[in-house]
Amino acid sequence: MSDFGITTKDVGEGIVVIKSAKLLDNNNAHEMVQAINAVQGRGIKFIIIDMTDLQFISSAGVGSILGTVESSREMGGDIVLAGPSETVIHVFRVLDLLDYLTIKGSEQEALAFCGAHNKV
Amino acid sequence: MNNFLNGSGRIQTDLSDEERAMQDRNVLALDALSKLARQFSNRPDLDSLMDLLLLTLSGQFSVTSAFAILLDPRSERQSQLYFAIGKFKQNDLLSSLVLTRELEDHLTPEVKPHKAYDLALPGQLANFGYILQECGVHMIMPLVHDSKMIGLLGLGGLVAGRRCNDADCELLTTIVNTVTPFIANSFLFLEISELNLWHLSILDSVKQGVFVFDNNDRLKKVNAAGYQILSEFKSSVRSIESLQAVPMSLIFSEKAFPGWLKRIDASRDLEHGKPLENMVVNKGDNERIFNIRVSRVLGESSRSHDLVITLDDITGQKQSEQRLFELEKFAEKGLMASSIAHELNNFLGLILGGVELAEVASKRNDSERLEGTLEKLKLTVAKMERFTAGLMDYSRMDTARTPQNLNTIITDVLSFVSVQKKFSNITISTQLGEALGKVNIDGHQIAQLLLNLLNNAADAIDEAERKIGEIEVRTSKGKSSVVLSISDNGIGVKPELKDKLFRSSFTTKKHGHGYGLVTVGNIISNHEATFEVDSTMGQGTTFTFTFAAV
Repeated sequence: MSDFGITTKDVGEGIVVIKSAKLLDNNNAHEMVQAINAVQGRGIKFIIIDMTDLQFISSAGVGSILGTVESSREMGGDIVLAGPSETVIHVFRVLDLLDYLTIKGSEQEALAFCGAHNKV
Repeated sequence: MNNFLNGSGRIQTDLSDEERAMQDRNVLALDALSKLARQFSNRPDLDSLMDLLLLTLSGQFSVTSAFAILLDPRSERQSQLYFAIGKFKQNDLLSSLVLTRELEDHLTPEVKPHKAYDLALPGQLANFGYILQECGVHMIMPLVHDSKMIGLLGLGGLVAGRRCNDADCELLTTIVNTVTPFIANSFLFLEISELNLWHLSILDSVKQGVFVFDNNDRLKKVNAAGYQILSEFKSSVRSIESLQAVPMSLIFSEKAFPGWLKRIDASRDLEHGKPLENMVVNKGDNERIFNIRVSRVLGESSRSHDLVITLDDITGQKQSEQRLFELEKFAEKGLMASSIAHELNNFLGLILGGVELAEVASKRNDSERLEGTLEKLKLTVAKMERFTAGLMDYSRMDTARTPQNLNTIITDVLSFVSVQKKFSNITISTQLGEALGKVNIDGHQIAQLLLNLLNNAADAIDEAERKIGEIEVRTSKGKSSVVLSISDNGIGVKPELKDKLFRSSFTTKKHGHGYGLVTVGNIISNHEATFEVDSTMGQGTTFTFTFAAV
């Protein structure tokens, strides 16, 4: 796993998982935006960002999610953050984003959430 | 960084949750700022800088959209650039907002964020505030550099439950004021890049090959023509990019460009000196001749000097000169044939007249008159013999350079020209130095040089309308040289034209084509001789040639 690499995995049922690298900051925030935009462009409503390996997220990293989440919600979907560490959650907390962002403890939980809402 | 945010390494532990959150937000902002600064001092790319700035502000201030309008200082009409993330990305209303002087006056007395819904903009600006509110812009912040507004930043889509307090405004001010100089520098960088491209396009439009080497003789720039020359004679050259920083010794390698480096080295200290002439390079049948100019220019750091080497391909010019040379020889031969026919007719007329006179004397048995007439006939035949002997010598002359006596060639040529009608009113005198020694010359070419100069002298005398023309041919021996000079009392050459005399198609004659002097120039060059022209308008000209003695 590289520090900045971002990978995309199609898990079916209109859900795509984007796996974040160890760091999500100035070096790859733009890459994350492009990855999310590409999935949204395919009409995919639910995107899970797998944060299990993410060790640090910067303001720009947070911006890459905030700048794209509204588009998914307007489509009737969401961007779900899966398995963020306490450090990452702390960043969301200090930025008053815990209530705004959809955060799940693991990819499985996120998949269940997306699956349930996708059927609605 | 992690230590500050994971709860284990906080600076202070006796803070309230709100204060602690604020402190951590500031730490995040500090981290973002230092990264932005580091990235953009290394690579000032405006698009990336704005993209990252907007993403950073979005995360830092918990907004889902952000935009920036920048005034492009490169444009005389102050055109604007628009950058955005989130819902502001495709927003026609925001992207069409115009940053006016009035808006600058209103926003910039104090550089700080303004809440869009608090803006009380007067007159026509009211519409500006209305559009901001309609589009959901929460806060705007002018970007000010050198006391001038260079753009405007807008944040919108504040997430539910988040409020912007004074500390946030202060933080936004700090971030924006820190980043604004980088934005201004990015424009400067773009301007320099465009200028660089502009210079390169000018260089590429030049037909000469231009090579710029740095202080360490490594290639900095080469134009398209220079690259073309290199790729023609060096098969190892693959692309212009691959030549970057290649040493001069490899660019003009001895194998591909024999003798070039030595001559370039010798002339590099002569600032804007004379060009290195007739530098030859060849590969197979492809031979090219260049004139090279080596000059120093001030380097980019202003403490160093770059070396600019310009290659001017004169192969075509040389070929034209050679063709002119051949044409000249051809023309001279035509003129000579006509002149020979004319002279022979004169002799034949004299002989025919003499024979008729002899017949009459014979019929009258006037033996005394017969003898006198026959004597005159003998003299005429002797003259004719001398004339034809001169012709034969001229036609037999070798074309290769061999040690020869200059005086012999002069005598032969003069015996040929002196009986021509063109020279009938001209006194040709000689002062030929004794014990002149031999000179390594091509007799044929030197005869041609003499013929051309004597013909020119006759024309100049004719143009001066002299009743009696005078031509003097002199030779003398120097320490290690032999000097030939030809003087006439013709019309003379204007001082400003002296340097151009032996160049292509130069002529001062009304109906001249100038080939004669081109030929003379080529012959001088072939013999590595030097020449001087001393002339006074209306009085005459002296051409002096110095040959190395054998």
